[in-house]
Amino acid sequence: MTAPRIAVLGAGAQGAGIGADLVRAGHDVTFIEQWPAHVEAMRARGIEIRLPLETTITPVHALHVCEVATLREPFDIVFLLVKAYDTRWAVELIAPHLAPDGIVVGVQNGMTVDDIVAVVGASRTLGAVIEMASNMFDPGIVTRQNAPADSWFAVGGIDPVAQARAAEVQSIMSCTGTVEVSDDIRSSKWMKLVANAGELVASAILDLPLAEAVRLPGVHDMMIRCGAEAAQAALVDGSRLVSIFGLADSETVDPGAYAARLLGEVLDKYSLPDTRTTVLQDWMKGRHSEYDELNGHVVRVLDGAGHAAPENSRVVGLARRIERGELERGIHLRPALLGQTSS
Amino acid sequence: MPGTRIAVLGAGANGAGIGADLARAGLDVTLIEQWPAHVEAIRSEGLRVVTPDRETVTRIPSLHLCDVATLREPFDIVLMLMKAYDAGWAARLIEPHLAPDGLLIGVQNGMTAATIAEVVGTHRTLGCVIEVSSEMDEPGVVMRHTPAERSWFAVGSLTAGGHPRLDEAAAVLGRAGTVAIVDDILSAKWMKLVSNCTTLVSTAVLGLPMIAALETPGMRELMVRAGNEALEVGARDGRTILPIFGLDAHDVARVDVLVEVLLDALYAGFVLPTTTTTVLHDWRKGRRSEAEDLNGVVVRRGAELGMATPANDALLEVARRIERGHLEPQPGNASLLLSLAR
Repeated sequence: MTAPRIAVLGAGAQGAGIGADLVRAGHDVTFIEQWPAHVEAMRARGIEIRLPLETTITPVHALHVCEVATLREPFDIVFLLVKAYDTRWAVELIAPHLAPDGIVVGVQNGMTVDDIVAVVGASRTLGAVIEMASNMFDPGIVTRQNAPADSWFAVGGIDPVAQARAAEVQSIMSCTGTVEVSDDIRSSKWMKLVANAGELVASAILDLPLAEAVRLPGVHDMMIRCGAEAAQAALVDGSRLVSIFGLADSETVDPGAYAARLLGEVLDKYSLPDTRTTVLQDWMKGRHSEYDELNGHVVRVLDGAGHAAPENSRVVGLARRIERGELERGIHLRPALLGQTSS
Repeated sequence: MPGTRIAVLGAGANGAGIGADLARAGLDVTLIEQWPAHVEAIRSEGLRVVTPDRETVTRIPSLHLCDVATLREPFDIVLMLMKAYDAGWAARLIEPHLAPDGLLIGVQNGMTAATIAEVVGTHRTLGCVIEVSSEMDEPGVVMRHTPAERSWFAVGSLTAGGHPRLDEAAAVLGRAGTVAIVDDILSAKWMKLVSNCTTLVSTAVLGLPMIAALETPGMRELMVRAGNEALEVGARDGRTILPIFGLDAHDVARVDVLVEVLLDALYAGFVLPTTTTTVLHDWRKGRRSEAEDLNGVVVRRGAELGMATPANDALLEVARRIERGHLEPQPGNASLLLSLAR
């Protein structure tokens, strides 16, 4: 078997960090990215990855999305690292360039597996959970706060043909983190969504690094309540509360305990004092965030089953108004976030 | 129309040229484009449009694709001028930014209306036929062979009884050319496909301007055969023959010479001696062409209906060889094409 042709579609902070490890492990990798200045920087200087203990610069083959139409050879594996809300168009963009037996691995937050399946089919789709922290504000330069030894992934498919590929993908990704094969990827993705629902948007609404946000009075408890609603949504959706980032003793049926344990793990292992969430990074850049694919999804799932999701609804409402320019993010929103005032 | 927010999604040669006409008419138009250097050039120098008898420079707000995630206000009308094969993903990209009562208009070749409607719904979709000839090799500079007075569009709704905003859409496009409102836009688009199957790939595989290709021995006959195959496949699907390019019902009354009438009307009205087709432009830029969305549609639909389409088979085969890098577009390909089509 010849070496697989790999694409990283969405070479932002996370995608470029993972892609650089794949290149350094000797894989045939093409970066495909939408930010023109970032593509130019990577072409000129390679991708610079600032890890906690070292900085690496790796020459990479980078294409702008407008160059997809110049591709002749199909890809065997596409690692998809675009925002959840970009999933559908990005997969449709790359689908003509995916080998008939190729596979798209959605290394994203949010429940994106079905969006990928809708385009390329279940037999060519793997979902993935990603747990690592990175940021990028300057083109060509990624700060990756979790080295591979401290990064964690789970991959799995909803179809036996795809699931049979999971071990191969696990092996390829092992250069960039600990990778588990999940036999229930929907539940694994819900596990991550429970974590995301609590911390990502709420800390961004307060305009604070996560570690600072949780120290504000009432915020930690609010995040756990938010996560507990998400855990309840997971159960309503037919998923299980699976082990947290591979911890053997963390499986449970209690949404509140599960959310608390998850938030604790994120804070302990995947967050530095200055870690700003992906949502806050988007807002700092004037960009749309994933709030609707995260908290919005929780609200919709619970609503569909006749349950309320007051914490997540409040998060969605505030995030929407921030994105519309009706509210400024900041700690003055803490009472509104906690439901103590009308906003 | 005041207050109507318009986007041109895909500001290539045709898209940018049309966008410039709209902007110069005072409409609120934003260009969204995937070629970074082109966006940068428009931002810094303005958009230059060169027509046979004049040149204009127009300032137009222009966004990179990656800037779509910064948009806050939805668009009321989006003119999509992407390649047919990009219609699906481009519609997905823009859908969150289309107003609930907005319109996404596929101003493109190929049968893309259903693809668009699947994403934004039939109620927000209009089909469109475009007959505009332009080229762009240098970022920020459009060579428009057919200025507005020689450009032609047809628009129509996918639902019987039309669409409440059809007149408004036609008025917008009317700034960039003559607009016909048609009742059966899918048939009109198929008529354009017939014309496209006649000329676009056939002339491109020779690497020649359209006029020189037509004059190559054997080519006119092959082109007309390809057009007739497309016409017959469409007829079997219930497509009606409609006058396009400003022809009238009398011009298209005789089916036996229809493809030749279309071909001659196209060449007389829209083709300069130097004009080459969009397919050849793509190949010269190392890009994929619309061959699969034009001749390929006829070949695949013909196969489903049990109809032979040898001329389109040959055109598609040669196009595929070119796109795989096995052949270069060149005049010598005529003999290969003619032998394959036998």
